[in-house]
Parts: sequence; C-alpha cells; structure tokens
Amino acid sequence: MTPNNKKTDYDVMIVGAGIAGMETAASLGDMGYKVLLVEKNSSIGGKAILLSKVFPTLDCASCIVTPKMSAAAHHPNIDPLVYTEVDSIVRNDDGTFAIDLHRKASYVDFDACTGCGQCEEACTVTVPDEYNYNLVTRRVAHIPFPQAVPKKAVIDRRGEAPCTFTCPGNVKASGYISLVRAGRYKEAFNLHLENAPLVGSLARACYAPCESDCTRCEKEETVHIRGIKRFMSDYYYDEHPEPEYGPVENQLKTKVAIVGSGPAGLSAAFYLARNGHQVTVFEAEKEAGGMLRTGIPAYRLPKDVVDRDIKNVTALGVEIKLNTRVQSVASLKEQGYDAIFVSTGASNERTLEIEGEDLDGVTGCMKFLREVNIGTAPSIKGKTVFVIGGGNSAMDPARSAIRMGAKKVIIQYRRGRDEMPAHDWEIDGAVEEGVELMLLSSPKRFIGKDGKLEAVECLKMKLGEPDESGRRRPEVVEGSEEIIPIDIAVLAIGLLPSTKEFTGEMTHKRGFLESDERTLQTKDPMLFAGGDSTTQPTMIINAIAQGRRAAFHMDLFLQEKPMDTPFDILLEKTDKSLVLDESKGFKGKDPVPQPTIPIAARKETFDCYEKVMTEEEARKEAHRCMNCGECSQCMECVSVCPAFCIDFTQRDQKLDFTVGAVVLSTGYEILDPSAKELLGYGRIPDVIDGPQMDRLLAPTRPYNSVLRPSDGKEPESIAIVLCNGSRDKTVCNPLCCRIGCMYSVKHAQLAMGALPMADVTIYYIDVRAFGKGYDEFYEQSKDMGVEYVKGKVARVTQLENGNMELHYEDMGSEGGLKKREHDLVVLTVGFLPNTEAFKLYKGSTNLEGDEFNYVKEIDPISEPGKTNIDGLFAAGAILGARDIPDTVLHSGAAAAQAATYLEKLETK
Amino acid sequence: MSTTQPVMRDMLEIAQDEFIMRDKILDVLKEEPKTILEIAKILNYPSREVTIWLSGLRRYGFLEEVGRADIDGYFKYELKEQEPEVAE
Repeated sequence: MTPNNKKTDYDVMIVGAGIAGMETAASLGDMGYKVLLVEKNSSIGGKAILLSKVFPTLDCASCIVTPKMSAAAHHPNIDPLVYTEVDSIVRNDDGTFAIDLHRKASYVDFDACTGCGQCEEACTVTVPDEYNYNLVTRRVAHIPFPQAVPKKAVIDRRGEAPCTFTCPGNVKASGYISLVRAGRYKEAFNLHLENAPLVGSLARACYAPCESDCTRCEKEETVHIRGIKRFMSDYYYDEHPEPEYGPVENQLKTKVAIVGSGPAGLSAAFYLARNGHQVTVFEAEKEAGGMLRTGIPAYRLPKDVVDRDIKNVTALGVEIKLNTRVQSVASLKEQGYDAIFVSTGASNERTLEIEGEDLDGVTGCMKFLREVNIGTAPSIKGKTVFVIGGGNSAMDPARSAIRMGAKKVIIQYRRGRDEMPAHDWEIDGAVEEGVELMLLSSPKRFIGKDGKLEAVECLKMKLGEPDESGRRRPEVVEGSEEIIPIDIAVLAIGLLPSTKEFTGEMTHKRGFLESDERTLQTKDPMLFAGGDSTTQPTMIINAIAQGRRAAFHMDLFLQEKPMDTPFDILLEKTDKSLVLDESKGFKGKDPVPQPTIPIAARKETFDCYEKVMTEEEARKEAHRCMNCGECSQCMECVSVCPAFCIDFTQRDQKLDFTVGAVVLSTGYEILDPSAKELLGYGRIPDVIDGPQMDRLLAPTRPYNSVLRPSDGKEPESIAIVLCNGSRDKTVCNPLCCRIGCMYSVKHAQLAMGALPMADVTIYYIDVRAFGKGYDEFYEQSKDMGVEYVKGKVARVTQLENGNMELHYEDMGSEGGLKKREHDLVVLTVGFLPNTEAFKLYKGSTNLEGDEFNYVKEIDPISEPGKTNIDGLFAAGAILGARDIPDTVLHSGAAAAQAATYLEKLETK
Repeated sequence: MSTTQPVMRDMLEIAQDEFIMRDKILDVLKEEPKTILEIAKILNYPSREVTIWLSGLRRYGFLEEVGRADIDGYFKYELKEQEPEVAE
C-alpha cells in the first residue's frame, strides 16, 4: 500500500524496536503497509525482554515479548534493521520524510552467523554487561542476551588500538597482549605471525614504536609491550624448537625470487610461501638474516634467536641460497622466476670525507658490527674506541666495544644530548655501561702514523638556528681544536643502500631503488623492491612490514588479481581521551620492572642483557593494557567461528530512505539512583536498583540463584524502597514513574517464590495500584507475607557485618525515626525521558517536547501519538512513563494515526 | 557473613581483571568446592569482585554450583569438567 504517487522506499519508518515499536510495526504491517523498523541495538525487544515477569499476571516476560519480537522480525511487511542509528529525519514538502541512517559495523556477517556463541566464549576482552545492568561482565564479542532477535553476535570496536595503529607492520600488539593476559601463549605467537614472522628478533631488537603511543603512558608508564613479546616468543620457542607447520598444501607453480635475506626479504618469503608460491631467497653472505645477523650485536639479538625465526620461514618450503650474490635482475628472469623482490638493504657506510679516513683503525659501524657478529673482529682490549654519531647505530658499536674489553669508549656527537636521535634508553644504557659522551663536538681530521690511526682532532661546536629538520644547526667554534689519542674510530653517521648490482636495471633515486609506495611494484611489473634499499634505513619492523606489503602485492600480481585490492584495512586510531576518561578513577598499575643482568656483568658478556619476564610477570604486565580499541583484535573469534562469519573489514554503512511517515518509539531512560547519594547505590554493593533486581529474578539471571552481589549469599531480608528519584524535584524528576509500585510488588512476590525463607519489606509513601488487576495483585502480595512499611527512607548505611541499615521516618504506626537491618536493598527507580529523540528530527521546525522533556503529544485525548510535525508520530514511553498494557494500547493508536496520514498522503 | 566492603571499584576496572583472576579462582577450586567468601578470603580480594569474576566463569562453563545453598545462604562452587580439546 505504498503511496502510489510518491516515491517512497517504505510507507513508514519506526524508530526503536521495544514493545511500542514492535507493536506499532505489527499493526501497520498487518494493515498492509511496508514498515522499516530501525533499532540501534543488535536485537529488537527493548527493555521489556530483559524483565523477569510482567505484572499483574506474572506471565513470563519472555513469553510475552518473544512472540512480538518474532512477529516483528518475520512479518512479510516489516524489514527490521538492527544495529542501526538514525542520523536525521527531515520532512519533505510533499509530506514524505527523508531519512539518513547508518548501520553500525558489527564485524559479523549476520547472514552467516548461527548465533552459536563460540566467538563470545573465545573472546579475551571483558566489559560490564549492560544487558544485566552491570551486575556481571560480558565479552566484547557477544550476543546481547539469550532471546536476542536476530540472535547474532556483534563485536564492540571503538577504533584501532594506538599500539597496533602506530606499528609500521600493524602487528596486533593489543591482540597478543590480551592473549598473554588470558594465558594463551601459543595463540599469541601465532597471531604475531600474521603480521610479522620474525617474532623473536622483534621481541629483542625492535625499537617498539607501539610503546611510545601506548595510552598507559598518560597514566604511569607504557605497557612494556616488547617485554611481553619476549616472554611470548621465548615461551613458544622453548615449547616448539621447530615450527609446527610445513609447506602449505595448495602449492602453486609460480616461482618467486627474493634478493636479500634480511627482515624484508624473509618476511616477503614467508607470506608468499604461505600463499603457495615457490620461493627462493638469494643471500650473498654465508648466513641468512641480513642486518639481524650482522648489524645487531648479540647482546641485543642472540643469533640462535635469528636462526629460530628463520625456521619460521624455511619450514614453509622457502629455499635460501647462501653465498649467492645476485648480479642482475636479468639473470633471475633467465632462471624463469615469475616475480622478483629486491630487498638488499642498506649496509653501505657513509663517510665523513675528512683527512685520515683511510687510516688503518678507521672503520664503519656496519663493518665493525659485522666482524663482531661473525667473530672476525680484531681484539680491542685495552684500546680507546671513538664512535662518531648520535643515532642508535652509534650505540651498538660503542656498547659492543665495552663488552670487548676496550679501555675507553667515547661517542662523539656534534649536537647536544637532547638532540641525539638515539633512543634515550639506548643512550642511558650506554652511559651506564661506561660509554663517555662527547657532545657538541665534531671530528676535523684523523691523525695517524705509518698508516695507522693514532688520534682524532676535534672541533667544539655550538648550536645555531634550527635547520630544515627543526633541529638546531651545529656551528663550529673557531679555534677550538683539540687532539684526542684514539686507537679505533667507528663512523656511525648513516648508511646507504646496497643496490649497485642493479644499476641500469632498476630506477634509483639518490641511490635508493624506486618502487610504488603502496604496492612496492617497480616500473617493471614483475619486479618489486622494498625494505631499506628503497627507504632510508629504518627499524626492523619497517623492513618486515615492507616485506609483507610486497608479498601481498606480488601475490595479487602473480594471481592476476586487481593490484588496487586493499592491503591492511584499519579503523581510525582510538581517541585516547575516551579511554582515559572511562578509567579516570581506576587504581594505577605500576609497570613490572624489566629484569636485566647487572651492569658490571653486562660489560663482560654478549649475552642478552634484558632477561625474560616470568610467566606471572608477563601476565601482570599484559594486564596493564587498557583495551583501547575495546576488541583487542586477538582473532580468537575468527579462529573458532564455525561459520567463518567474523569480518573485521566491515565498516559503518550509510543508508538513506524516503518514507511516508515516521513513528518514534525510542522508549525511556532509567534513572540512575546514585544521584540519591544517601541511599548508598554505587557505594554499598548490596544496594541495587529495580532493573538489577529484575535481572536477579529472571530465568536468565546472571547468577545461579537470587544472590546478593556482595558475596553471593541468598538474601534473607530484602528491603524494597519505593520512589527513588521519581516524584522528586531534587533529581529534576517530578513525575510518578507509574510502574514502580507494581514492579516492586512483582519483585516482592517473585523473591518470596524464589527464596521462601526470605522476608520482604516494601517501604512506601503510597502504593499506586491503578490498573486492571493491580490492586488484587497488591493485596495478593500482602497475603503472601510481604510487609508494607509506610515510611520515607532517608539513608542507608552499611553495618560491620556487611548488612545494611535503613533509616526511615515511620509514617504508618507510632511515627518517629526508625532503623531496620536488611541484607539486600532494592531501590525502585523511575523513568526519565529519552531526550535523544529530539535530536533525530532535523527539519526547520523542532520536534516539540512537553514540560517534562518527553515528546509532546499535541492532543493526547483526540489524536494520541500525534506530534507537532505532521506525519511524525510517537508511540509508547517516549511520550511519558507507562506500563506495558498502556504501551501496547498506545502503540495501536499511533499505528492508526500513521495509517490515516498515509491514506491522506496517497490521495493528496 | 560478609565483612564491610572496601570502596567499590568501577565495574569496568573489575571486568578488566577477569582474565587475570580467572586462573587464580580456578586454582583455588582445584582441591575442593568453595563459597565465594572462602575464595575471596584465600585470594584476599573483595567478595563482591570475586562474585563478578566467578559469575563470568560460571557463564562460560568453567565452574558450577554444588547443590543448594548452605544454612547461611552460600553456595559452594566447583570446577566443571571440561570437554577434552579436539586435536588440531
């Protein structure tokens, strides 16, 4: 019955699928109108489905509400659209309405989800369960409640965790941290493999940009993410000296050559081999690993860890040809490779271009470290080592020299300590171990005798104006020359790419290979280039990230898929202020100190100076994670879902419709009784509110019985206190809630049924039993033994034994102030208007509210449900507090009003 | 009998502790069934918080109550037999 002369998608849109929304939808649907039923939660049913029973019949709420839910969900004329928010409603000139909506990403394919709940069981992040009014917890992957319609899981995601977002490889730090916290170490390791295969190396030598962006930095100190990773990788490698997997089953015929077995090459090999390609890695050195093998000293990265990391790659069938320097791309093409990835790194040393640089004893940091790492370094015992440079690459040779027994180790840097590009903790570590810093100093020339280095002449520097990098430019202090006797000079002033073999075959930019930033594809489509040979030398994780990126796009190329297929799809970075706000009052969590070997011992050994955390320490440190993104991306739900329906690529979806009429049925809010501070809610655990009591009494209750929250005891003496925050101007709510009396009588009767030995007392000013059968219901409770005390409760205090003492004014017998002890106190709370409804309508005229902030019914007697906007109706508690029978009745009226409007619209 | 509770921590803060406390509670229940108060005393955590964590464990099938509440109104909880993991 769509208005024929209007272009509408639906006859009517109903916003909110509680009792009123479902009832209105069913009425209109039965009349033949096409209805769009929009619900912001992932299930229809509203608050009523969470109730235990309904008054006065004590029918099971599920039995009353689920048929309505089912009818709304399956009605041929109703399209329910759950997990969807209305952004705007605007009335068109022709009387129809333009609607903008967005369907929230649930990260679950609703069509495939069977509602089995396995994702929820596997989920590793716990939050308060709002469907149980925060009495218990739920997981961020969850089905809201057992009777949900549709019974589909949704996953809460606030954004990408800053640690994951910041990591160049998008390694899901928050994910493996939550897995470690849950004691699932193998899963944590395997999750890491999805983004970076060289877990052990990163656990020791990554500069951990994730830690710099950790939200916990704003409170105490970053979560020591790398330390957790170290525990996780050591634990896994101890348990699994060999990888648990072999080559993938589905082997392809495509052959891929990778030049260079550094982190970029190994990473690319790993992901290509996982896709079934035949991968050969060519390595000029006698051992694989590139910089990991030769550029990082063993005290930071033991070589057996590199070996074990490489097994992750070779286990997939990747062949590494050692001692094989690739001389040209053409030679690889001739060998029949279908795609080539060049990742030769950047190990060529920059030079100072000063006098004496060719003397014996002047060396580059990579050469120095390489010799140290492969065991060919000459003895420097008792010698003075002079390292030039202020970056991390200066720290490695300096700290290595200390371990090799140098008499004196100096790091010379031309700017000040604050300007040093090395990480503070690296500099601190070097200084602690005995390295001297010579700041604001620069070498002028090396001085030697018989071709052998003997000294360095230095110039003092001062800082001038900032240069293009923003750092203050060092300027020479004239006449400040100084000669320092040294034995070895190590130049750590930067590295250049190792790409000379490919001159003429590949395009270069200042020596770096050129490839597309996104795909890493070069001008030759089969040729890809990445890692330090295409960028400035960076961190290991950058190179690993480039390898994975290259592998992804090489796979697209080899499988002839579109090259614009999106690579990592991330959400926006989580707004840290949201995380900090919600954790404002939380107790601080001090970091677990990183265990290290004593400084004196460090100087004598190349053993890793950082010790691994114990299991308890690692879990404790993981527990400091603030779950910034809500979902941690641990991917356990993906692993267990039998229907493969988890889809983290889902995004919010904008929708727009034109409808003939709109019915708002967004319900009400529940008053927070913590505003009545003296009554103890939020301060005394066994002071709960009415909705919480309903959950305790429901068959789907959060506990195994009706228990008090403080200690799981079945209460023996329950106090129900009426009118908390209703008819109460102190909380700006002068209205009677209309249902409190009756739902409290219901609570009393149900409690007596569930706990036959319990005493139940209702404290009241007056009891309003105005509906059909209500007075009988009230009288019945008296007959059952519910005690009614006419009195105003002023205060609830907690006794030493944990029970509560109610202080009330006796208004029913002898009068005066009285006290009585109970072991559970239920505060009957009222309704508040849901003012969100006013924001939905964005036409030129505002949707009118009444003096109590409910939506105003223009003429409740003759035209119920009609608002001041023609064609926009309202149903149920959005107009004022009402019980379920009244809501159902009112919904029928609103449906009739909407139908009348639609008829007029059609004949206009 | 419960003792006076300390300042109630925010529910989210308690929720975030659940995975750490889970193994501790399961460990305490290894020997014999216990009430929430007994568990709280052993772990030295507020019984309200133990109630919340224990409810989570019960919800996800790690433990269950034993029979009916005792004379004081407390249930004992015991570990629930887990289905053996299917080999991968």
